[in-house]
Amino acid sequence: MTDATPLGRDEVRLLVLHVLTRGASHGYAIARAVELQSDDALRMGEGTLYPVLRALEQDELVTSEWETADSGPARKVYRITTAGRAELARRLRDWKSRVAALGSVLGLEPLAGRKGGLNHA
Amino acid sequence: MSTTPPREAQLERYLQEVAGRLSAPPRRRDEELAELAQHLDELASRNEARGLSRAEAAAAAVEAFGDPGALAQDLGRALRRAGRRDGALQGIAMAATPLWLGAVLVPGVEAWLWRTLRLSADLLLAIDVVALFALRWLRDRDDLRRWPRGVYAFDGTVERHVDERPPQIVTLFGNEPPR
Repeated sequence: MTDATPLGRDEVRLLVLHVLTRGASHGYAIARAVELQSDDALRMGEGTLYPVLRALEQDELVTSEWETADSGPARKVYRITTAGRAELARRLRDWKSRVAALGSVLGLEPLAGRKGGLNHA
Repeated sequence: MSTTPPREAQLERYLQEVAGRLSAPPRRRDEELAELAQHLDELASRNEARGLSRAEAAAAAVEAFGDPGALAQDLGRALRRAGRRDGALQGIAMAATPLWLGAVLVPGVEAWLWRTLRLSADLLLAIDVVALFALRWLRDRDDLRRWPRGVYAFDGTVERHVDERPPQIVTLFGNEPPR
């Protein structure tokens, strides 16, 4: 339906944790938040989302609870745990250093302390 | 009491396919299906709101979820990790119980256990009790996380009695309960 880039499991894991730092959310809303924030450039495949959520629950990085509103059916809502926030911080550090290193090699962004990277020109 | 409208046949079929291939305890499986059903419905509604026909919207929702077999397999794999934890505790309890009974009832067994494994009858009983309580506690904790209030029955419908509100029946799988 769209030309959005499908995300891998590790990326989905990172993004789910990030979305949940903004507050409790359910599966559909998590997927939509990623699409919305990326301006529909990224798509969190639902077939990947739920196994990732289960794995995050097993690792106790998120918790889930069926919650009811005044109207509509009960919904399963996910919340990030303290361990989840720590995991997110660690993954973000890894991600940033990876992006910086790749950028340096590709000549997009020099690593701190270096004058430049490989240039295509 | 409220009832959702019948689900588009493609969505229903997709859920039935996942249900048929998902290896998990019945209640856990039904819980997974309830969550997937809600997501599929919302995705299809959104697609419809964007101008697709009902059938096209359902097809796009199913496509976004991908192969039902792969989804069921991935979900089953993630769920089995919790099963392994319970299995280990059950194994400990199942091993400790006959050993304890042997130590108490059969002369010479306790002395042999002490010589070979440094296990006394009291220690075996303690291991057994701790394993069983841990198993019970972990299951209750997991259940409480998932089922915080009310009574839920996923035999094709979700029945919930929450707070002071009257019970609601929400149809998940049309008129047919999941296999």
